[in-house]
Amino acid sequence: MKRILPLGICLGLMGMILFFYPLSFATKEKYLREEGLQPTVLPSEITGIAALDFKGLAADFQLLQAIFFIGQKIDRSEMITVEDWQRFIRMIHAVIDLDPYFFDPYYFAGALLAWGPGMYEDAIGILKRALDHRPDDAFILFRIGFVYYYFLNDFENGARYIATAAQKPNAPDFYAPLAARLSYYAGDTNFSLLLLKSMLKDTRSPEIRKYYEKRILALEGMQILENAVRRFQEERQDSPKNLEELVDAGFLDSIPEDPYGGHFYLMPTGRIYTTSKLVEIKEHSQTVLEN
Amino acid sequence: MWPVAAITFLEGIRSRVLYGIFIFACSVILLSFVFAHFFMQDIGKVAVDFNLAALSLAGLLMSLSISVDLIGKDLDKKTIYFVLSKPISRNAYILGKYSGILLISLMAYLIIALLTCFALMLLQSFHADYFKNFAWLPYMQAVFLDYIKISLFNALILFFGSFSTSSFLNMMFSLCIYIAGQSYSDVIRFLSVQHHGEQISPVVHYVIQTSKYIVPNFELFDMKILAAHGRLMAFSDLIPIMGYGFAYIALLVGLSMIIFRKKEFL
Amino acid sequence: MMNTPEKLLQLDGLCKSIRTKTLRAKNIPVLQDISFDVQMGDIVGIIGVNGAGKSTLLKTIMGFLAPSSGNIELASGVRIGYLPENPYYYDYLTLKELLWFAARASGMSSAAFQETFPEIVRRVGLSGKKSGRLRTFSKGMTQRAGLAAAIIHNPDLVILDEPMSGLDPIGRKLFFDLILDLKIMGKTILFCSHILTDVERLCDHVLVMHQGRIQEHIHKTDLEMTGHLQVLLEPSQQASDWLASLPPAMHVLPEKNGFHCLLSDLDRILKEFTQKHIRIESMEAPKQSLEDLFWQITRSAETGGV
Repeated sequence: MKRILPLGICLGLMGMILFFYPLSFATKEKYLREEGLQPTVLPSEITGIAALDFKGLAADFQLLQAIFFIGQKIDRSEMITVEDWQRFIRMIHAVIDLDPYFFDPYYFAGALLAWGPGMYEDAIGILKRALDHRPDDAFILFRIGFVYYYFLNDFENGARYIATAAQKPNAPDFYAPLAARLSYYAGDTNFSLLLLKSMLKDTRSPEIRKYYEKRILALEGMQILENAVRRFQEERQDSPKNLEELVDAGFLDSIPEDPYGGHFYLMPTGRIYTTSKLVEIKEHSQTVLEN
Repeated sequence: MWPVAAITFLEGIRSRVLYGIFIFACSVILLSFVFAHFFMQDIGKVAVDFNLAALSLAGLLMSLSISVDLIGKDLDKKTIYFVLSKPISRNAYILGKYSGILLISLMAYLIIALLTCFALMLLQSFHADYFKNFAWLPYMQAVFLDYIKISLFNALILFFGSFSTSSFLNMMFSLCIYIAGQSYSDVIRFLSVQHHGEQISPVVHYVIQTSKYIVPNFELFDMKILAAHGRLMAFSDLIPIMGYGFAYIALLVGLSMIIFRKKEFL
Repeated sequence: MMNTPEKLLQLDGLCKSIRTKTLRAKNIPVLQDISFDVQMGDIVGIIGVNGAGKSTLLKTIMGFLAPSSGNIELASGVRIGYLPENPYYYDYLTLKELLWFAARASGMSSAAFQETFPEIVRRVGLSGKKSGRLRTFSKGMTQRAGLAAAIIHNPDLVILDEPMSGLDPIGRKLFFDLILDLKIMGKTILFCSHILTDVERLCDHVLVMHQGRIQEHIHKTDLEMTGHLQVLLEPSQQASDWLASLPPAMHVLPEKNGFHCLLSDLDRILKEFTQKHIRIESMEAPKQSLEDLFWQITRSAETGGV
């Protein structure tokens, strides 16, 4: 009997712990999720000193915090406001202050800010900070060029950066011809596809890959449609009035679906566009800023 | 049990280290005056941040130095022979030690909390406009829960001390678990949102999901953010958190007693 | 009421082994087959070389170590006072607080403590140090403080672990007198020591330990002080009168037929005897001192003899 009593008490206490813990955790979460209780962005001056010689580690944690902050909102399909994105940008800058050689914040922020809210200038701003410390990084230079070209339609800057990237030691071979042809290929679906696919190859983060994959899917759809239109034009010496005609005439099995939720349509110029404008159409938009 | 608690208390309260920690806490409180002026918006929040940080840090430092010392010194310096030669059961000894430590930290918390309240009142009178979100009850709640947190930490130190042979190891282990316990909530939250970076290997995931019940989650007791924004946690919501704390403390103290009963003193 | 000697402590076949913390853990026996008992009023001394197991034995009796086998029986209701070897007490406590703890932990009420405190402090000669911090005490004072803490609750059995270790001659004398006081008060004392002369003078029983065993149990009657002669007198009236008039320094034999004396006194005494017509029956050379006995026992134990 004497042995059993303490054992029983211990088990009872462990049971209490197992019972109360998830309750407590959930309760705390409930309170923390309230409006206005956002995590503070610790200015890098303070973290820099407080972290002593663990600045790298502190940078890692702050980056996680930043990614998690946005990721949680995406995950819960919550609206991400402009303030949220700006807080995110401040966090990323703080991370870069702590560890400027850290590749991930540039990589994440550059991609997320461009694809998500379309904050291209901020994305470029962050990527350019990388050049202060990683001037020979071909990938960073390429990404800057990509944002200029693809999102801002600034072919001059796009070509310039990609050309600079092409000269760096670790640059892949296709950078050089790409830079040369950039303006010529503006608006060319095949070219864009090539570009996107090469970007996809270098992207490890599943979250960001989704952006590329979706865009590639859409462009591949457009590519199919463009090819069908061209064949129609070659054979009939005439342009089709709409995409349904292509199907009826047998040049197309079916009209591809727009992964962004819109419809592809044919412009009088012969170009293919989509009602979604290649931006996600949802009940709650992930982004507030549309391009 | 009470005589042991009494001498533990007396020995700890006169420690030079304690005075040093008090001075440190006071400096942080003074800093709150300085830094409050940098933030011209929500001075109340910054003031609360600093003052609660002073309290929390002081508690942590006290536990790591004084509690560890009080528990280890008996064994290191062979005073244990004297104490246990009296008709005191080993259980009473453990309880007495822990009670002494609880009393010391209670006194320290009361004094520092009073000082911080004084500082906050001063700041509030100077910058009443910027103290809009501040409320006393959430602040007291944060102080109270921090005391429970530090009592849990002290129970952990007691537990390690009951079988460890080195005071330094005791301090290191306890500190590591404290850091882990504070980060656990964040780690769990990160894991729940798995989109970013590589996928976490399922082994790691499993280990973390199970060990979250073993590592004491100190972050649960951290009400600093709530207090800084003047948010009060409802009493009914406090109950599971306090239940967790008390249950864990009881478990650690109980385990210490069981381990200590079998201990031999060469 | 008959004053029957009560057995306060009995040990039976006590054995204790320690596990070494090396990779190939071995069990090293530190106590082997210890059996003896302690009657009320006895003063028992334990002597032996370093490592013989004296301290370990006392610690096992006190319950700090658990016996591997064998029995330790303490008579019910016996209050014990213990003074550890090289005691250390908390830096910041005062003597009064230490003794308050010792008293309260032993079950004394606060009031009883207040009464006994001045007396106890005076007895151990620390009257001037009531409120001084223990950290400021010298080794001798710490030792006395420890003794005060050990006896404040008026224990029946007092166990002392090397009480004289590290004391200077003055400290040792003080302590010796204190133990003598305890003896006079009728307390039962069990202690171990290196200082054989003190053991010789104080103890009724001496246990010689070596390599964890009790090699020999020496009774007081076996002991003689060095340099003494044992003189037996022929029974006569003059002899009895003379013996009765002897000062206590000259030890009269229990049977009242002789006495011990120093060689140096022999001359004077013989002259007295001639005067008073007292005749000597026999004279014996001094018996072995404890020290001699000790070396003998230890050496034979080393070589394996009995």
